[in-house]
Amino acid sequence: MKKTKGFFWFLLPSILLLAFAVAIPFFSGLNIAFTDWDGISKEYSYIGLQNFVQIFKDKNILTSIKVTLLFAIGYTLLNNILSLLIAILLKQKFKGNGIIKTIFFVPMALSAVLAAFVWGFIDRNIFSEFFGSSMLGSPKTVIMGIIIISLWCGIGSNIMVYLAGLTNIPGDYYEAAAIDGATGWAAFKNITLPLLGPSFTMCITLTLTSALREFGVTMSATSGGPARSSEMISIFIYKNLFSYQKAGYGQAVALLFMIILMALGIGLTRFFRSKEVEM
Amino acid sequence: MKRKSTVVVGRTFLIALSIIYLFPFLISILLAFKSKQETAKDVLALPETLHWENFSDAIVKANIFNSMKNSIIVTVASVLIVLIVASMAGYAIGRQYHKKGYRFYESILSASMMIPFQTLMIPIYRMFREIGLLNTLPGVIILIAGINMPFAIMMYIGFVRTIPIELEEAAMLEGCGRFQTFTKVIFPILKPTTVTIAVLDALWAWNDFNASLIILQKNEVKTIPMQQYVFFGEHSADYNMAFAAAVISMIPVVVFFVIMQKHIEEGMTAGAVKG
Amino acid sequence: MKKKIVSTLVITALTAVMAAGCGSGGSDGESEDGKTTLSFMNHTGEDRTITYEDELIAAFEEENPDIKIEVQRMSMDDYTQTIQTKFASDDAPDVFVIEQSNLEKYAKNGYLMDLTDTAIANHYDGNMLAYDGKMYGAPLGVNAYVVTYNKQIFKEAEVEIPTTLDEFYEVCKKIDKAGYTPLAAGYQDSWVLMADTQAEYVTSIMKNDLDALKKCESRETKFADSKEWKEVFERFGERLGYTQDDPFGTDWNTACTMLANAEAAMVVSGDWTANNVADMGENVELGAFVLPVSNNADDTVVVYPGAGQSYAISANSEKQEAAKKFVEFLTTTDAGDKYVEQGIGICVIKDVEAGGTDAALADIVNMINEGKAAALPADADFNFTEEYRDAFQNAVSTFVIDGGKDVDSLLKELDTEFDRIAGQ
Repeated sequence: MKKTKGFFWFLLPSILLLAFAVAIPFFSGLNIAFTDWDGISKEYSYIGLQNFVQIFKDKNILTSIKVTLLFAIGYTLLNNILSLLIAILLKQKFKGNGIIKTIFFVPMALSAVLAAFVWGFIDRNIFSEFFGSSMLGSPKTVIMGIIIISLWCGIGSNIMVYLAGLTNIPGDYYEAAAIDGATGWAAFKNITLPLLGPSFTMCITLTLTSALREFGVTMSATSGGPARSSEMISIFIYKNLFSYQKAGYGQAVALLFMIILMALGIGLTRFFRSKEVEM
Repeated sequence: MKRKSTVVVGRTFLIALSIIYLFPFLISILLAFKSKQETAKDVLALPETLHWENFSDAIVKANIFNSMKNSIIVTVASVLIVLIVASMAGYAIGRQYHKKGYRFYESILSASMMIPFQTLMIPIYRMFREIGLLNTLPGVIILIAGINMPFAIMMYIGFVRTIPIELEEAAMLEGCGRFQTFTKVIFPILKPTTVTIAVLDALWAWNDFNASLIILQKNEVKTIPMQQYVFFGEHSADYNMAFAAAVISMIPVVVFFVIMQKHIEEGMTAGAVKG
Repeated sequence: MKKKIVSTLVITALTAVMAAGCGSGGSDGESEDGKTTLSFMNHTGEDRTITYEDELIAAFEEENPDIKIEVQRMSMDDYTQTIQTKFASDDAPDVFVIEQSNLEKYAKNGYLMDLTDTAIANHYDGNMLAYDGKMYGAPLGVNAYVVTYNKQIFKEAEVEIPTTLDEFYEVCKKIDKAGYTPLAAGYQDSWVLMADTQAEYVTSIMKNDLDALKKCESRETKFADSKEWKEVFERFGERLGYTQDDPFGTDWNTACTMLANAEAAMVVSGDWTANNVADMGENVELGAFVLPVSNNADDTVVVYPGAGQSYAISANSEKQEAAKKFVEFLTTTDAGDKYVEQGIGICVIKDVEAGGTDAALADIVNMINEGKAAALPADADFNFTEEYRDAFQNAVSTFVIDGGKDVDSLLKELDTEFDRIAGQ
């Protein structure tokens, strides 16, 4: 029987912080989803589930869901493949290693508005040479354009996590494997991939869920246009909450969306955790 | 032989990619040194003279030194809170992962990461006003720490589970308490993870826009991202000054990253010995 | 050693947190030295406007040493979001800026102080922001929708300012032949497309029917049955043929750049264009004219509403006396004269002489002085309410992307969307 006493006290500070900054505000705003509040007046009345019924009649929300999924899946795949590849290449020490690491990291420090401006310029002047028109200006390519900008802005964090994961793998595992004749791909498959478990859990869950909530880059680059072709769910919610005077409805969409995201997030975490190797 | 060629291919790819990544950044720096007229004529052309006045004007207009001070306070404080709180929680959950209650708490944490921030804005504003945390740095520090904490805990959980349990059993046999075991044995092993979380959290805190927007409205407490918007009008924008401000505000980030990077490399050897 | 560094860091951070907390917490209301602090919230306008406003604030503080103005400015989007959060939390700033399009929802909910019987009302000849017979906002200027053009290109292509639709198309053709892009459009910024269509429908429809937009929203007017709306989009579609490629890949900044660099000849938008373009080029000569909407030259007049962006006072402010003093100071004839002198825009304050330094703006003012203008009453709103506006904008965007030919589909789509929002 292991000693398990005292673990709860380790949790307590985090519970308090979570309650204060997220849980209490969240639950005190929950009731809005069941009202006709317009976001500004002092009075509102409860209308039951009417807002939720309305969601299923709104065809614009379907567009938003489609756009968001397209972006999230594309971004998550590309980001993770690219960042894992970069992390593996960066793990081998060589001259200039530090500079290259910094290069991938630095764009994260530029605000979304300015990143959108620089990429808007590149899009107009360089991408349009290849595609005939700019990527952000056409409904067919706008999501790909936003994925490219987001990859530039946000790949640094996944590279960091994968690098940390790779660094955490003890070097003697590879030595032992090398004695057994496993190098290169075999070593990667049998040692690197399984032991990177926690990194996969983090990176994929984090990229996917943050992509599903994407707001800043899209708002700065296209504000959801042209013609709703990049109107992500979060932009849809934002517009209802603060500009359409439909705060109740916006909150209801947010709530439903969140439940879906939570199920997805919890499911993903469980899935990846079960694949992780425990020592 | 075959290995060598893969290395060459890999490295070429890496260098090519980093050049692509560097390109927009170079445009940003270029823009910071150009006048509005020069930018209008040709974004890519070199400026005839370096317009240092973009920087001096931006410093005055965005009150950069004061906002940088605020940003540094907010970033350092919120990162420390996150590291302390999250490493403890991550350790507890990672070690008690077989228990339902702890796994449930992990689910709550991952769920809390999914809340669209817009829906929290009005309740947070009301709550923080009532307890007098509006327009204060502690208010925004707690909020940012609270928002960033779940990710950090999740990350710690994963890595705690890769630490062999025998290590701490040995420490406890030697008479260390649970807390001592944590600080003396577990926390040092988690160093690469801690450094990674510190870097990511620092960056998020530094760039935070949402939380700061609702909490910080007075000039004396505004952080750097809040001040970027002084360069954007309703129908016009002063991009050159905005980029000048951005270049200045990136300097601490780059310095911080370069310092932290050494510790990641250090952690590598440390982890290898202990594992 | 390392532990020491960490603990020092922790202590420094905590001290900093505490110090910061003490320094900036709870400075609401009257401060220790007996000064009244007024909170004043505005969005970041153009550079000139900010300089102008800051000068006035400094002068006010000098004249009233017992009042301190605390200015908070943020971007337009954040402004709307923040002020609504503040309203909803009973924490409105003492003085703030409102637009015509928000007037109704703020006034109806009792967030705005009634200014009807204050000295501020005496600064106006009836063109203040009013709702239900009461004055709620004190405006400085108005915006007019105009075509801003590059005079050098007009000279080179040997064309004159068009006053009829046919003349306008003729001008476009000649400019095209001379090797320039006739029209630049930066629809990537969402408001630009709206301003562009407003230049059409304000002059052609709203001049004759102030409630035209409201009728569309109430579904009294169906787009498909309206000859006027059909013509608006036919003209708009025709105009697209003279616009540069890829308008949705072009942002406002780039469109203005094209005018400044003499690549494009005209931009259809508002009177704010000229200021913005002038800052981008060296010696650009700009002028402005009204977009012709028919072949009757008499229809081509400047149409402008009585009130633009306006100062308002919170109904719940505890410092209304000081706030009134402040708004009064911001809207004197002297302030208005400065506004015009610095070339910011057209001013609506009583006894302010029209004129100013800006050539393009002077063109508009001249038209007004010559009587080629129609001033609409102060409560005229050129915008659809937000949700309708977005629907309108998205439908028109689709129309543009599809080539600007299929007006019938556009009208049908507009009706479907407006029906949905109106709940029919």
